[in-house]
Amino acid sequence: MKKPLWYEKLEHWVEGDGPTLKEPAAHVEGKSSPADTPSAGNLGPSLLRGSGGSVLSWLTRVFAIACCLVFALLMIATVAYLPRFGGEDVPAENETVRRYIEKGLEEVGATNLVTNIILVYRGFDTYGESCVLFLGATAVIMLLEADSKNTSEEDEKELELSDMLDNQARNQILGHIATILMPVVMLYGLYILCNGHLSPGGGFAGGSILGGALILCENAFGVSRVRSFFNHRIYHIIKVGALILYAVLICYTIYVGANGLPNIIPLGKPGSILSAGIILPINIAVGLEVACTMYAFYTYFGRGEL
Amino acid sequence: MELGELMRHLLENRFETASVLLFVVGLAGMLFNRNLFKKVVSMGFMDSAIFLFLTSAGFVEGHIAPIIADPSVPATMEVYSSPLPAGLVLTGIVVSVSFTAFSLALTQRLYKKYHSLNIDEIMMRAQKSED
Repeated sequence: MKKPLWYEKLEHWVEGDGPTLKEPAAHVEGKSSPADTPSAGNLGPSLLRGSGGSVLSWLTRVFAIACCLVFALLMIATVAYLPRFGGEDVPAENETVRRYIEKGLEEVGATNLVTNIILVYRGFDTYGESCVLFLGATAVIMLLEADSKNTSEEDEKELELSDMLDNQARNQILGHIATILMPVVMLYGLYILCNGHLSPGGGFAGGSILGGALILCENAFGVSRVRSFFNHRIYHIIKVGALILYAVLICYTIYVGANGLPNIIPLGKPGSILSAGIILPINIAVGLEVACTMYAFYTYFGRGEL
Repeated sequence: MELGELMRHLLENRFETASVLLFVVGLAGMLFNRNLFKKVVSMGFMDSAIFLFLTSAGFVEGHIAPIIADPSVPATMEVYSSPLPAGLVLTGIVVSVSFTAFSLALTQRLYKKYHSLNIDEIMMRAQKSED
């Protein structure tokens, strides 16, 4: 049966351009390259549908299906022997968790026990996680930074043209809605950020919302508007500064805790906004870092520059 | 274990079962798709499956979320559910976001160089340009 035209177009769009393979061959990752080597010159689907290729692809397809099935059956058999869902005897309820729940408020001071764990008890781990985010952003910048080596004149012309079109016919509806929404979204992000120790939320969630607000700003008002208050330099200062602030705070806490010294940062009254010692500054640092990283991901994928 | 009993256990642990199925869907996607973008999406499926598994491991019937409503009452394990899985999942989500962004950046560079997302074609064109 012939596929309708819209389906072919959709398929073409999803697969990316270039000659699409009508029957995607199912080599498993490692085996595909040796099979392709002998006739690398003849490009396109014919190679993969050749007699040698089809047997190999058929075999690897069967092998892959078998792998998936065996894995699924093993895992389902394991799930059948797990403790009952929601029962009192789930393995997550052990003495570690008892300590976190019963002493968390007294020792760390935040009413949100999850925040206690991720920012203080397991603060070093979360610091590593922030470093992963930092490294992710750095790697994306290294890969996608638009410089003379990886951009052709056509790319630049295309970007210029799209910017010009954007500026000429800026979407009126988006602009008006964004004018109303931007302050609300920013305020909500800041609220989530600063209430991380009292309610669900915290640095990662609040930072994502702030990053979303920046992305909305770029889409509605153009990149020049965002650059007026958030340029390359400010981005690097915030990103590095937030990580250093976090490192200093977590080092202080570990040093004090390990040596049994008195902690000079007051814990405050549980439930008020200025409480829980180092959690509020850490949340703000993490939030700024995440907001910057989210916006950097967006803008580097689209434009190749901040 | 009999089949009926097995089915009863699977139904009781329905979230874990669903997460295993979701994981296998992601694994199959990784193995069968030749499109790099779809491979990244399949990786996201596998991440979500693991998060679902971890969060469902921390749930206890009748316990409330681990946020202390009244600081004057001492907190006990009989009231609050375990906060540890939530913390672990948060770590996982952040790492998966970074990983997704990094692999998409690599994919975009490959696309710019070889004008294709199909892994076989990228291999062929890379070999051709080497020769």
